[in-house]
Amino acid sequence: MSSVSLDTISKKYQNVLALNGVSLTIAPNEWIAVMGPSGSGKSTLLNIIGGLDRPTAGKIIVEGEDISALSPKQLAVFRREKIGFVFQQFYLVPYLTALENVMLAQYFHSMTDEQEATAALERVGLGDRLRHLPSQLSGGEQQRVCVARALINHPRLILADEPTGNLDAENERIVLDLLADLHRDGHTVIVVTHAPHIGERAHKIIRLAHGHLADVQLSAACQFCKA
Amino acid sequence: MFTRILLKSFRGRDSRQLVAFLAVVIATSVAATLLTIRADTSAKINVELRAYGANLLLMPVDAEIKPTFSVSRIMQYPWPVSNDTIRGVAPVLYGVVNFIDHAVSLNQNAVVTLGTDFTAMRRVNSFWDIQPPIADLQNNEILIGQAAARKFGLSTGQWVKLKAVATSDAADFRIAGIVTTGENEDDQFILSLNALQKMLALPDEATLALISVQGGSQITEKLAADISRRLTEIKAKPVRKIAESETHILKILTLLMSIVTAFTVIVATLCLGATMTALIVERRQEVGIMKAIGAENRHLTRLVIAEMVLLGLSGGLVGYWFGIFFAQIISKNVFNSYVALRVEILPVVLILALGISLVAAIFPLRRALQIEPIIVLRGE
Repeated sequence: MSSVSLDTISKKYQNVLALNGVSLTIAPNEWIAVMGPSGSGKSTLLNIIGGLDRPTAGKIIVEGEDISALSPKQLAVFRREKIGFVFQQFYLVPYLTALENVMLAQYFHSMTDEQEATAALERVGLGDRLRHLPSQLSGGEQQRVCVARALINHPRLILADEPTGNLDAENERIVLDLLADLHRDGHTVIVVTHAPHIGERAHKIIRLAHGHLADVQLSAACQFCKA
Repeated sequence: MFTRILLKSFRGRDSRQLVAFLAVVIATSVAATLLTIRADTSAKINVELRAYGANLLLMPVDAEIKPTFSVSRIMQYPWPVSNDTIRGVAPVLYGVVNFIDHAVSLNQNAVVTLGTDFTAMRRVNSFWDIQPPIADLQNNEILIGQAAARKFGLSTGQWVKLKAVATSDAADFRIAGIVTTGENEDDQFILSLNALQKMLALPDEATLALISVQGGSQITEKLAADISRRLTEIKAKPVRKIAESETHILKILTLLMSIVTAFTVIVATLCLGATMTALIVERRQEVGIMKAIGAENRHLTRLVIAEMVLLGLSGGLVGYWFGIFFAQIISKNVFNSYVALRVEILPVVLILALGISLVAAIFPLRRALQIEPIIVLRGE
């Protein structure tokens, strides 16, 4: 069974066709890089897979569930059960500490477990930053809190939209290593990026152009793929 | 976790939150002020009006057959109300006496004279102006109405001789003061009840009894009915003009207070709703993130309602104390006395604050539920 299956997905915003008949299948535990120029529909594709946006036409099945037919409430449940998001802008709640931001995802999912949230932050190297507010953390640290928040409910899919777009080289490496870790743990990882060197770390690179699926290629430099 | 989010979200707000808080404080303090004053006003207006005379008159059932009644019957009557309710019972005996004017060669003038229990009369008619003020009226002392004093050229400290028309008994009295009431007493002489009863040979008799009852017209009416039933020779008559004016003043006051409170509450609710809606618009990114990571409408509803309830209760509590404070100032200025601290008003004020918050919560809640996470995350 595929992890994600898109069948002629289109998305239209007023007069702009952001996605145009995209069909695609992503296998479980694949690491996919979605690349393409600005306005090619990369983020729209990611948002549709994550249940944040709905396609105008077409059918999308994620983890065996047809999410194009779900109600807003069912989509919220789907997002918290199946998806872990990592955003370029981090999007942490500003008045909650790193630990509380992670626990917030637990709270919406089921119940909070401070020990587990602490362990998640320790895993991303923030064991000494638990009680810090986002404003007291560097960009790299904030993004690592996002990764911890994304993995806390054990989602099958990790969706990252330009996760290193606001980070320096060192923090970019740390975050990509964390994504690689998650991938090794069995998660399906989909990363939207402009950067070819980030795309190279994926299994597969999907290229979009003007909302069309332009190309799907295996990553030559992918260490996984070689393994 | 819910409490953590709630308290941190509540604490970390800016001036908008303060405006919302003040809206609740203002509305509830106005309500608390008016409720406190309203609760005390009935008693206070009653006391104020009681200073303007009796509101219950006792008189003989048939004055043509027997123009007086026994004072001891009144004094032995078992009042079916508390002592605080009866401000004063002043028996009054009217009689005509001859005033022997030494200045005009023993000219005799018939003067209407009033005998009363001076202390009780002062409690019933505290508006009487007596110069110089006196604490009591002895049996050999007399008060002269200001018009009578002018007419006969009398002044305090002089002695006058009075002679009863019926019995021709005479006695001398020292003028203890000049009294001004603005009513019939200005033309009359006033003696102690005992002195006049003795002169007129009517021991224990009175023509009238003036009673000042506190507590409103219903109590006065009930008391009148009870007296008339128990003391068959006496007719008890409420002075409706005063009782009705009390009720009327209270009705107008209550209406006015209700209008002011309702108006303030409506304005505060709209202000609170608008402010909290603006706050939600400001927090749309936060709401969008929560929805993106799986928050359902029920989570957000709980959060918004809890925040509004917290705002309402804290604002209501502060408003209550402000209300008590303002009520004291108003009461001191209007009634020259402080109001009692009424704890029973607190739950009413808190329920009102809660009502304001919950109605006002409709606007920000609707706004929060309409927020689409994708729109926020796209930065639109």
